[in-house]
Amino acid sequence: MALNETDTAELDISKQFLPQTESWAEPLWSGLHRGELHIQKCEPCGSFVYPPVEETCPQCTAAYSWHRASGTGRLWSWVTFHRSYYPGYPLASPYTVLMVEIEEGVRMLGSLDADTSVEELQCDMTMKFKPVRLSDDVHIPGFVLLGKERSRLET
Amino acid sequence: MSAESRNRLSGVASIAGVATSNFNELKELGNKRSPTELATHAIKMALEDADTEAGEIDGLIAMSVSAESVALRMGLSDLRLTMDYPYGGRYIAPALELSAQYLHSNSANTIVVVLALSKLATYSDSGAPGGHSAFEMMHAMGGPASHSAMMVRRYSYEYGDCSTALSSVAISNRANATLNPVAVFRKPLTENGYFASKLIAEPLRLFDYCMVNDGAVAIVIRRTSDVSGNRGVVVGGFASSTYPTVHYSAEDFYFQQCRSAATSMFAMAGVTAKDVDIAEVYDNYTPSVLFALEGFGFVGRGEAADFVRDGQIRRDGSLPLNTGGGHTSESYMQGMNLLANAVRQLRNEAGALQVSQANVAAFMYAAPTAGGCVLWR
Repeated sequence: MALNETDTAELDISKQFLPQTESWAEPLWSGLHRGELHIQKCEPCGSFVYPPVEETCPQCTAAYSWHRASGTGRLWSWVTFHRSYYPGYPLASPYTVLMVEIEEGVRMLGSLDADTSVEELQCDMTMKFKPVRLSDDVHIPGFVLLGKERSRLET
Repeated sequence: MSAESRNRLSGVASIAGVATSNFNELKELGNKRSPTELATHAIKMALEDADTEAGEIDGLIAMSVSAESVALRMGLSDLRLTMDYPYGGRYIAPALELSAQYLHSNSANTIVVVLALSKLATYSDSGAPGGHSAFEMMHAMGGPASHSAMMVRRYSYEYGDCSTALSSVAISNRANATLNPVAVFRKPLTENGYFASKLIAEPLRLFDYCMVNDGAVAIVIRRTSDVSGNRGVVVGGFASSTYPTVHYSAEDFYFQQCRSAATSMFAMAGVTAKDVDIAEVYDNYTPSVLFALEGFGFVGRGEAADFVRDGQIRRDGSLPLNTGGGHTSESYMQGMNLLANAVRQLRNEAGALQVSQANVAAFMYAAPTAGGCVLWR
């Protein structure tokens, strides 16, 4: 594939599927490239927010600061889609999306990392944050079963 | 608002007439009518049913269709109430309350609530996959159904596998629809057929989903004291409650909003869940029926699956539910067709669909905004 075609595909994936939040949620996206989860926190009242918001905290009107989350959470539930509804979406079907309650107390969606098979999942299992790659330039929040990531590194 | 002041509206309004499109015929015709045309036809039939002239309409609440367009096409004028709601569902209880208030204060005398859906026009929240939030789209999440699927998986984890309860809901709906000449899907459904159907947002299967179809429903609401004859159905109670969620899923399966709405709605009507003979439940997806039965207090928490599997919601059960086939088999008119079927049952005019005892009916929806109403003859 020629370079310009790749560029176009990258641009399309980002434009079509990602929220257009670069100007104010940059810590989330840059963190994903490093394998980290960054979420917003209101320092005065201690509350965490995800998905990120552009507004200030409604309780104390302070601006949110960015905070690196522990990346560990509890699997609340998940759903598996058996066909793709979005032309051009990079992940092949069936694909699985999880709802995970992270240690900071926020429930968040994440895609299931390929290193965990859906058959292994059970509610309340401990999950580890691991961004899922849509393309070289595009990573989205994702999770892997705790321990899976380590075993893969060992092999 | 205190319970005392709410009670003043109990029984003020009556549904004097109802009409629905022939959903099956519209599907055969290929769904080619505009929402305005579907709405005006339904209103004409509802007026005949209510023995009311179009010129008497002085209030028009329109869902998923423009009130002004409908009024213009019908030549209505001097309307004292026009209101546009983007869809039905959560707006039904507020529409009934608003109507009762207008009638109670003599601001209006004859109010029509109409909902019309047409594939010719775009409308939101159709139940089809779509990006409901920018932060869902990147995961290719398929809208509210995905969250219903997640909730029912969690529900099964907490209370035991409920897959055969979902099949029981789908099969019961379809059994009712086989008796309903206007239902879109009338072919009988067996348990084998249900489990042979494809998985969409697993654990949900094809038959767990509402359809997307064309049609309209109109109801005529008047002061109870103004409804002549014996065909008025009294609006005894209504309520709704919102507990906002980031996504469409709630950890308690919408229990707190259902319970809050149920408490107000039943208190206003002066009845309890035990007094209800028939239930009409907004089944965008079959799990919603389980969540509503528990949230509105028909069974205890975690007991809905057994209740449904025991056949209690079938037309010969203790609580016939979705008597016309519901959203999965009759038509997806975002709750309004369920309301119309409740009215017909209470009037003893449901034909082949008529159940043996129908004195009190409850219409309910379990979602981030839960709500409903209690009706009686």
